[in-house]
Amino acid sequence: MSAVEPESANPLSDFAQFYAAQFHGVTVALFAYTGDFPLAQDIAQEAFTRAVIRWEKLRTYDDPAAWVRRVAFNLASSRWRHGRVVSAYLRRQREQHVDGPDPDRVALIRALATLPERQRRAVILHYLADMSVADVARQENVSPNTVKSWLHRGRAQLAAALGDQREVRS
Amino acid sequence: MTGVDDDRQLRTAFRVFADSTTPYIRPPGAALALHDARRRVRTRRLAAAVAAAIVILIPAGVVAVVRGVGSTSLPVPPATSTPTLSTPPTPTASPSAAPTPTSTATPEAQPTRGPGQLLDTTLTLSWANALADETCGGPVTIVDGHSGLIVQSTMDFDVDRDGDREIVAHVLCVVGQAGPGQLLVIRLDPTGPTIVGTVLETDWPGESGDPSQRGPATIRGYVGLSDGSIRVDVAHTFTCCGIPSQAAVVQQRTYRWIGSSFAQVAGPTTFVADRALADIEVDVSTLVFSAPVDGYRTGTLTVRVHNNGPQPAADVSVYLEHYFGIEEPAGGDWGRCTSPSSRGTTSAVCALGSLAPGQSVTLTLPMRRSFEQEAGESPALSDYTGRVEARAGAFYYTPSAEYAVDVA
Repeated sequence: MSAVEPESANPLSDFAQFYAAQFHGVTVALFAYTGDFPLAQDIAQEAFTRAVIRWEKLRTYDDPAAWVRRVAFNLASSRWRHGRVVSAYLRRQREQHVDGPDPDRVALIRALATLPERQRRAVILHYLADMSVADVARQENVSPNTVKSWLHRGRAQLAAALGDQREVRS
Repeated sequence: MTGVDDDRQLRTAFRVFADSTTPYIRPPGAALALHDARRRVRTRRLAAAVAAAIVILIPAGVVAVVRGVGSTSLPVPPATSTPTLSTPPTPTASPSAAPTPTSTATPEAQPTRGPGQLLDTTLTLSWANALADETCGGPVTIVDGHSGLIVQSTMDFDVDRDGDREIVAHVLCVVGQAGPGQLLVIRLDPTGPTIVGTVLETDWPGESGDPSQRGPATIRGYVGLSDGSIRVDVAHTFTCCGIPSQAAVVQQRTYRWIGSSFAQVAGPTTFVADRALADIEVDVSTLVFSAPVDGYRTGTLTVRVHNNGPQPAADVSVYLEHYFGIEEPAGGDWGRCTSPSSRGTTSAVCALGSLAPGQSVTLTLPMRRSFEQEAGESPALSDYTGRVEARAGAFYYTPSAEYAVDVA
C-alpha cells in the first residue's frame, strides 16, 4: 500500500534552503573574525554539517542560523583551529581558490585584529550578522551592558585604525 | 569624530567588506554536509559497536589488573605475634622497591622451634647494634633460656646445594623484653659449629622513624626453597607484648648463597614510604581525665586522620598506644577498633577505610581507668605520653603523633 508522504518527511529540502541562505553570511563573519578566508569556509561547512545532523530539532528553532553561528565561532576558536582535520575536498577547494586582494577588506581585517577576541566577536556579530545587542549578549553569555561597552570601545578603536590606514594609503 | 559617525563608518566598512568577499565564497554544498553527516553517524555507530565488542573480549583478568592499579590493600599478617613457622603471611607487594623476580621454587624445608642440634653448642656472633653486641656478641653457649641469646628455631637445609645440609637458625638477642635477631647458616663441624654466613640481621625492635630508612624489625618465619634459596617473612615493626600483629607490614624476601655470602634475590628490599601516593597526616588531642567518679577517671581521646595527597588513601588505619590499664567503654568509635585479646592491652588498631583526597576522619575514643590502680604507678598517669600512628594501605609512610595525658 502506498502512502502519501507529508512534505515534512523530507526535512532536508528546507535544510538546503537554509544552507543556501545562510552560508555566505556565516562565512563572511568568520572571515572577519579569523582573517583567513579558506579557514572561514572550512569552519562554516563544518558548522552546517553539524547542523544537518541535528536538523530535525534545529528546524523548529526561531533562528537556526544563531545556532550555526555560535557553533561556527566556537569552532573558530584557536583550540579547534589547531586540532581540526580539514577534509580532502576542502583542501582542494583551498588550493583552487584564488583570493583577490582587496584593500578595504584587508584594512578592516587588520583593524579587527587589533581588538580583543570577545570584543571582536561582538563587533562582527553586531555589524556583519546584524544581531541586536540583546542577541549578542545571549550568545556571548554576558549582560547587554557588557556588549554595549564592547561595541563602544570597538567602534572607536576600529574607526581610529581605519582612519589611520586610510591616511597611510593616501 | 562622534560615535554616530563611527557607527555609520563601520556599517559602511562592513557592508563593503561583505560585498567584496561574497563573490569569492564557494559553498561546498548542503549535499556534502549531508554526506559527511551520514558518514560520521555510521562511524560513531561502528565505534560504539567496536567499543562494546572490546569490552566483551577483554579477559576478566586484564580488567582485574587494570582495576588493581592504584588500589592497595593491607597484607594479611599472621594471626600471632610470635614467629610463625608453618603459616607464612600473604606476600606484600612493594610499589617501588627493587625488581622482584618471580621464583618457581617450592618449599623444601621448614624450621622447627627451639635450638635443636645447637643446644649446648657455642656460637661466636657479632651484632650491628652495640647493646646487642655487648650482650650477645662473642662466644655464647646456647641454652634453652628466655634471655640473652635465644635460638628461636632451626631448619636443616642444604643452602649451598653441595648435598650436605647446613643448619639455618633464627637467633634473637633478647635484652629486657626484645632485641634484634639474625638468621644464620651454621655448619656443624667436628670441632663445633661454624657460622657460614648471615642471611639477615634485623634492626633493634621498636625503633621509631621512617620505616623506609630501616631494615626489618622482626623475622616472622622462613622456609627453605627447592632451589636452595631461603624465603623470609619480615615485618617492619615488632608486635610483641600487647601490640596487635596487624600493626606490622609483612613482606616476603628471598635470599640465596652466592659463594661467599647471602644476597637477596627476590622480594621488596625496603619498606617503602611513598608520601606521594598516600600523603596522610594524623593529629591527636590531649587526653584529659576527669576527677574520679565511682572509682573511675574518664576522658576522651580524639584522633583525626587527613588525606593531604592527590590520590585516595586506601585501607587507612590508626595504631594507638595507651596507658596500662585503660578500659575502652562502649560508645564513641571503639567499634571501628580491635585490641589484642591479652590482658593488659596497651594498644588498639582502628580501621578507617579509604580517604578521598582532602577527606578527614575523626575518631572519638572514650577511655576510663580505675582510680584504685594509680597508687605507686610509674610512670604516673599524668606523666604518660601516648602515641598514635596512621597507615595507608601497603604504603609504609606512617605519620605519628604523641598525646599528653592531663589528670584533673
